[in-house]
Amino acid sequence: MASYERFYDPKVLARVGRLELRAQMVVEGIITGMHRSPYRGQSVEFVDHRAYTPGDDPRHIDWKVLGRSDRLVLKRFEEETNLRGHILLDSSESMRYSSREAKRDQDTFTKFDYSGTLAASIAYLLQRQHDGVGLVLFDSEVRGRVPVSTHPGVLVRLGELMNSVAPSGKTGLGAVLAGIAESLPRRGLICLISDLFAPIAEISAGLEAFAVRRHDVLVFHVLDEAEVSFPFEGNILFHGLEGYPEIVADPRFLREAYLEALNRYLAEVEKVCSSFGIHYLRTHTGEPLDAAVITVLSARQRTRRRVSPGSARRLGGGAGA
Amino acid sequence: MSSFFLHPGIAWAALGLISIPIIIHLIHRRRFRKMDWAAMEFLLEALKKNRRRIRLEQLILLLVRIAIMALLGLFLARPVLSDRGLEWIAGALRSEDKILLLDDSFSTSRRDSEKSAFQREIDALGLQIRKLADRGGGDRLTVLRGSRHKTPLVRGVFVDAERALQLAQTTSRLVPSDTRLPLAEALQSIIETSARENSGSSRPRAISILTDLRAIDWQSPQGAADEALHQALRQLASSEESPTRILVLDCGRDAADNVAITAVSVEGGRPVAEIPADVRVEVHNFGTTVARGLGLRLRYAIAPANLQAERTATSLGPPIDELGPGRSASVTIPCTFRSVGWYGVTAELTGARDGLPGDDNLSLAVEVVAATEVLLVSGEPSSEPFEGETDFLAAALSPPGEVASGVKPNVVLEDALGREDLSRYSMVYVANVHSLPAETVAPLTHYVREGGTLVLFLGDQSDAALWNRQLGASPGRPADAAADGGGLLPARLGSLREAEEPWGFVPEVDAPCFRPLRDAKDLIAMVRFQKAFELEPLPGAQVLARLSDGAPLLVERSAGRGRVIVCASTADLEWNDWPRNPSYLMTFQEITSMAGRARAETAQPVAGRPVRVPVDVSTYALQARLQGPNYPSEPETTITAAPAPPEEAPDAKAGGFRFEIRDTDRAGLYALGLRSQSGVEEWRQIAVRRDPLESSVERVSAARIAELYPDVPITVVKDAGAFSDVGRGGFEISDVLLVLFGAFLLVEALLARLFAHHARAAAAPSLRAAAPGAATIAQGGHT
Repeated sequence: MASYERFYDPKVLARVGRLELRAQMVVEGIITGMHRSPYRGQSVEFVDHRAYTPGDDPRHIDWKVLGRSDRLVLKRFEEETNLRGHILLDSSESMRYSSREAKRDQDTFTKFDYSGTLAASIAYLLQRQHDGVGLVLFDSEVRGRVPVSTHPGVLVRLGELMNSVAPSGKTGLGAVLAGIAESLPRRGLICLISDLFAPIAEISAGLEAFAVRRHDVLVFHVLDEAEVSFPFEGNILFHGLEGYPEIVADPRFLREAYLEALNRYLAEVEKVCSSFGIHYLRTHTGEPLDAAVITVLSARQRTRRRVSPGSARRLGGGAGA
Repeated sequence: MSSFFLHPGIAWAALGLISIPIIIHLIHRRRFRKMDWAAMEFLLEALKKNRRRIRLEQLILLLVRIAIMALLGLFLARPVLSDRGLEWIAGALRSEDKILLLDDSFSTSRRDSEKSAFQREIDALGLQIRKLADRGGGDRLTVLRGSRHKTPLVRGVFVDAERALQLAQTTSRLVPSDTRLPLAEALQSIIETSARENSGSSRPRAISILTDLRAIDWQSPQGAADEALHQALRQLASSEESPTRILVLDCGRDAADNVAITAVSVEGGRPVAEIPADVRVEVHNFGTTVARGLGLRLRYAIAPANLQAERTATSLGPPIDELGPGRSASVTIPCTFRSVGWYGVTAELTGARDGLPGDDNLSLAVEVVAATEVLLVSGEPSSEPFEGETDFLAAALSPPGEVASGVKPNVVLEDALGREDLSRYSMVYVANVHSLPAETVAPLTHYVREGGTLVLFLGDQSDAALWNRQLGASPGRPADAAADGGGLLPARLGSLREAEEPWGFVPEVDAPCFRPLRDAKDLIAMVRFQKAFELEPLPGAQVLARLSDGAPLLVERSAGRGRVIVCASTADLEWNDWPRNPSYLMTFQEITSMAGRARAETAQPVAGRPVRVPVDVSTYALQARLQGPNYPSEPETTITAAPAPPEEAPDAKAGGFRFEIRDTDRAGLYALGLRSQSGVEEWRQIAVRRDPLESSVERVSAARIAELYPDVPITVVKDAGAFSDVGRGGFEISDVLLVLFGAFLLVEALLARLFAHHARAAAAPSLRAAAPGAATIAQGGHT
């Protein structure tokens, strides 16, 4: 693994205690990787540049970049930023699950840890782009909130909030999401990070609330590695979280049926998302976080273009022409 | 026969083994890891859907595991299943050699209320053969008869329907023989053939003896175990390559009665033609009840007797009113043989109502001679009547008159002795001879040893010292007559004695030759002896008569098969007046007839053993006609004389020819027709008898057999139906169990994999879902 990839390898991240540090690692790793990665040459932009589109003021073209890489990019100015990113993080009890037991050479990395790292990474990224970012923790109701802000200190507040909450409570996706949607005055980028362990109807209702208000929604479906592969053997007493009953079973006999049920549910979730035009990314706690974070970047790009067609003219220059 | 376990203890433990998978299963269910689980919804759904199937699969696995344990336990416990009803399995699993020994001894012809024992044996044999034919399988059958145990009826054949039919036909024609059951020899034959045939392969073996369980077959005459039989049984039972079971089917029935003729003989040796002879018949009651109303008769005809229907004479004997159990009766029947030659005499018992009529007759072959020839060697002949040394003797032996005595005395001088063929004579008397010519000593010794009787009279010519040296035992020579040329004398001759007062005659009244004198005490009292030699009886000699002063007068001693009698006094009136006394005649006639009997008495051949008749091939042709007891219904055959092998008769002339009649299964009269060189046909009669022990009704029980031969497991069965089912008794199915055990292990492994496999086969869902709007990094306005 290249050294930069280590930055978003969950196993490595697990060792890093501080969330802010993790987030930094992820993002910097991504950015570093981008110089050498296949993403290069594509239109992912970061803070300092944006791609040249016809109609843009050619005066702001970054000639150094053109000389270096034959790309027409414009230098960007801070005023362009008007993205508001809302990270909605599921902190219900089901997020507490980790299949990786704490051992000598490995730490547990629950879905919540993973999700939190993802959330922090996204926040860090947006912050770096001088976008506004906020956080909502929820289970069956809102647990905590960091209002949207472009202030650099917002990251710290995000981290504190996430660290202060231990996942508990039942997942509620319908009512609570609708409530959150209502509370947002303006359109923005919604990053929903959850394991989505709730009835489809609720998920649908919740997402609809955002879609109706024309938010840009990214759904990050975070599952545990084991939830996805169900590799268990031997007799196991499954202690259900969020009030589910206990089951004693030999998982080998159930694997096929379990995966079938899971797949069916995942397909339905995807269907729901696509019916609302919502971008859906599924990942698990064993996967590196880069893909997820990069998704945000491209989504951000789309959002900006769509949100203010008129503002494209405003870009590129400081004084009005 | 029921099923059982060879190791019943393990069978119980096997039950415990079965519980192991169950216990493991139960324990397994209780042991589990505890784990938090978030995605419970799907798990519940999975569980609900598969609960039944899972239960079923787990149950199947559990049952298979129980079966594995059960098979292991069973295998270790080694069950033995009865093959009743499972014959096809038994046949397929392990075939065996079935050897059936058929007892066709004489006693099996005994008929009880319905059938004879032999008939029951044949029926049981037929049943067994049919069962084998029905069952099929790889069993091989050997059937042999006791009388012909070296040539089985069938050997090692597989029995199908066709073969069964053939066998049925063959066996239906069998009849019992007149022989005994040679049990030890028959078993030995079986051992030898098996050893020859089975080299290498190991096949279990079942030997079934169909017999009437006579005590004589299974134990020695004294009632103890028969060593040869024990040896054979042990060898069979302990064979490692061929595990053997020994079964006995008791086809006999406990019989209460049997009366049989046990012996027939002619009194007085070879009878003389035209002289009435006494035939003694002995009858024995072998049974446990009194026999009544028995009658006896004799039938006799000249050889070949079986062909002489018209010329058969009959003599009736006195009836036997009552014969108690275990008792014998002896009856004398007079008959007169008209011609010289061989006669066949058959004694028949009438009125015996037992199931075994075969032993109610017994045959005897009798050689009738013209006269009994006696040689008298006279030391002092004379032309004057009764002056010759042997005149009185000759007159005593063959008194003139109407009634012939049947004795023909031939008088010779001592120097003519060497020219005589001594084998013609039943007795040789030597009277007052100075000494025997040297060349006559050896033939005389041979004559005596071969059964002849020599009587020596002394007299004034007798040289005692010479006699002692010639025929007596002296220091340096062995005391008996074993050495040639010496030791014939029963006593040492001492000095001549003369009486002052003539001595009286004191015979030993118990001596057989003085039997006729038992009631003639007054006659004996008249005899006076004047002179006599001293006699010192040698060891083994018997004093037959003494003088009144106690000195031995007549001393007798056996030499070989014959005997020598020496008389201390003269044969004529020279030294005594005995010849004038009737007791002289009676004594010497008796001695002569005893001598005749001794020579004629040879053991009567027994059925089953070959009969050998020596023949002088210079006189007769090598080929002879042979008519068996069933002639003319059985045709006559021809036999050829062959030289006797040296081991047959060590003291016979080496290279002497003889006829050997091998097939003597039938008792009765056989006739041998010899052709002399001059073309004249001479018939000899041979009487083959059954072994008298075969008439015994005593049976032996299964318990007694077990007592006699405790180290040999022998199963005795009475029921023919059960007998035929006693196929291999029980057969082990360990092989089958082992195969099943392995199969189940395989099945268990396969099932476990199968059940787990299709669980694993389900693929994990893909991780990165594509949603419209692109999961991959979008191209945006790139130029």
